Amino acid sequence: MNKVFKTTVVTLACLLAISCSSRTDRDGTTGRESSSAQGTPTASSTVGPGFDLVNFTGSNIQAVYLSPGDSTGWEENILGTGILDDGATVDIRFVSNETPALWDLKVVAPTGYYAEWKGLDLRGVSRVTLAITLIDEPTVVAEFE
Amino acid sequence: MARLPFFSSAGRRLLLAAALLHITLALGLFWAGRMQLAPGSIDRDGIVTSFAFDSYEYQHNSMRLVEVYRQRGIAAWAREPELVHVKVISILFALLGPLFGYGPLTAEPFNLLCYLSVIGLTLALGKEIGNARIGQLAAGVVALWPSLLLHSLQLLKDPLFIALALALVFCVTSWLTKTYSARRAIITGAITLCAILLLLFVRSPFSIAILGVLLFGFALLVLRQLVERRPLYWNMVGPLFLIFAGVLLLTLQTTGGQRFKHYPSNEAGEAKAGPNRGIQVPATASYLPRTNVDRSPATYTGRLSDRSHRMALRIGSVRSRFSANYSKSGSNIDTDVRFRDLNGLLSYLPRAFAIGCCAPFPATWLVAGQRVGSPGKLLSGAETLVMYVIGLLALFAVVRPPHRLSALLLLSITIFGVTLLGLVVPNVGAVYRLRYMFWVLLIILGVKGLEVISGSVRHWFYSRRTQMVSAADEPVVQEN
Repeated sequence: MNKVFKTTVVTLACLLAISCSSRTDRDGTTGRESSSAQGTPTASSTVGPGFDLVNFTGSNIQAVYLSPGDSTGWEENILGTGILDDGATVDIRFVSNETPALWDLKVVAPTGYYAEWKGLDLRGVSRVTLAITLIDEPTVVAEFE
Repeated sequence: MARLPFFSSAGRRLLLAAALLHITLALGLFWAGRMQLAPGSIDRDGIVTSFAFDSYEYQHNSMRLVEVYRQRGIAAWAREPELVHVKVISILFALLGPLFGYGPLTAEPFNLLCYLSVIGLTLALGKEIGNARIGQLAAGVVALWPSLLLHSLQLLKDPLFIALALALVFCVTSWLTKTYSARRAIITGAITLCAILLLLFVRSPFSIAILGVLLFGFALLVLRQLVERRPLYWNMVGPLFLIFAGVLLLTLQTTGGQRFKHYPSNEAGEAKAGPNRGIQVPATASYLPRTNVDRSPATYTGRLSDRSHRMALRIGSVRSRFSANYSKSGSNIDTDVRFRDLNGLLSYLPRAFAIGCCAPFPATWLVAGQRVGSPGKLLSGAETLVMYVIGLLALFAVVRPPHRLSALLLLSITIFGVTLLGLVVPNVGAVYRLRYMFWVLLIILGVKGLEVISGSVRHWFYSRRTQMVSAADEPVVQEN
C-alpha cells in the first residue's frame, strides 16, 4: 500500500474520532426514547385508539402535552424523559374508557420554543404531522389525517 | 482496495500548484482584511461577508471551544456537542490562534487539506472513468473554479462535505471498475463506511442522497455482472452490507415507540392560562382529507403507498423548513409549492430538476443579489453559463462510445442529486452552495465528453485526409 493510501486512512480515522465527540448539523437523528413509568397503563385501565405524532419540524421535541379542552393545566409530558427526534414518530394511545371531544396540544423544543393548539377534534384522527411552514413568518402546522 | 491512482508526476505538480495557489490566496485574504482594503466585503479576519456569512457562527463556536479547552480541559472539549469541522478548527485556533488570529488563515491547514482532497479525488475519478489526462484537466478546472475556491478559503463545512462525498463516489465507482479480492472488499467497505459516517456527521439530511448513491452503484454493479457474464461476489459484499444497514437505519430512525395518554390524568401540570416559559411560535392546524382511507395498511401495496405518502410529506416538510429559514432571502424560488402527496411530488420533479441543474436562470444573472450584490450575481451567472456547456459535453461522455458504467454512475448521481436539491431547497443561493459536489462530477464528465468530441473530430479529419489521399492516388494507379 502506498503512503497516500495510509495517510488517507489515518486522516479518515482521525476525523471519525473527532466526529464521535461531535454533533450532527441537527440535534440527533435517532429516535431516543426512554420509558416513562407514568405513561405505562395499569391493569385496570383500557388502552383505546390513538394517533401517530410525526415530528417534521426540523428540531427535536422534548415535551408533548395533550390535555382535555376544559382542563386548566397542561397535565403530564407524554414523552416523559424521552425526546422525539426530528423525523421520528411516536404512537400515542389513550388510556381510558372514554375520551373528551376536544383536546389542547402543546409541543416544546429543547431550545425553549413552543407551539400550542386549542380545541382540536381528534376523533377519527390517525396521524398528526408537525411541520414548519412560512405563513408571513415561520409557523408550525399540525396536519391531521 | 483498488490502488488509489495517486499520482502521476503531472498530478503531483498540479496538486503542488493548487496548494501554493490556495496558501497564497489565504494569505492575500488575511492581508486584505488586516489592511482594510475592502472593509465592506472582507472583514479583519479575512472572512468574505457577502457569501460566507455562516463563517461567523462557526468562528464564534470554535473560539468558544478553545475557551472550554483552556478552562476545563480536553475531556470537556470532547464532550461539547459541536459540528465536526468546528471541532477541527478549534484545535487549529488553540494551536495557531495566538499567532495568526482566529480566522480563515489559522484554519488554512484544514481548508487546504479539504481543497487538496477535492482535487486529488477529482484526479482519481477522472482516471477511473477515462484516463489520467481527463483527471488532470478536470482537476485543473475544479481547482480554479472561482466560487468553489473562495468557499474553500472560509470557515465553512462545504469543503469537508465535498471531499467526503467525492470519497464516497470514488469508492462506489471502484465497485464498477475493479475486481475485488476479499481483502480489497473489506478495506474498500471500511473506507466507504467511514466516509458515510463522516458525511452523516457533517450533513445528516443527505442520508437519502447517500442511500441513492449506494443504490445506483449497486444497480450498475449488477448490470456490470450481466454484461461481463461473470459473478463478482467480493464486489457485491460491501454494497449489500451498506444498503442493508442504510435501509435498516432509515427504518429505525422513524420508529419512535409508543406512549400513553391517561384520561383523566393524575397530574395537573403547568397552568394553561399562566405565563409560559420559552418563546411561542405561531401555530396553525390543517385537517387533511383522509388519504389512506381506501388503503389497507395490512397489505404490502397499502404499506408501500403509505410509505410513499409519508416520504412525500417528509420532503415537503424539509422544503417548508428551508422556506422558513430563508424567509428573508432575495433568491427564493417556488416558495408556495407544498408537497402533500406522492402525485404532487412527482409532478414537480421536472421543475425540480430544472432548478437544481440550471438555477440561477439567465434572467436573474444581471440583477444585483440582496446579499452578494452585482459582482456575486455576475460571477454565479458566468459559472452557470459554463456549467450549461459542461453539462452538454457530459451528455456526450455517456452517450458516445466508449460506454462506461462508471460514467453512467456519475451522471446518475448528478441528476439524482440536483433534482433532490431542487425538490427540498427553494432558495437559489443555497442550491448553488449545496450543488458543488455534483458540479465536480459534471466537470469530470464534461472533460471526458470534450475528449470524446475531440477524438471524433480528429478521426473525421484523419478519415477525410485518407479519402483525399486515396482519391488523389486512384487516377495515378489508373494511369499506371
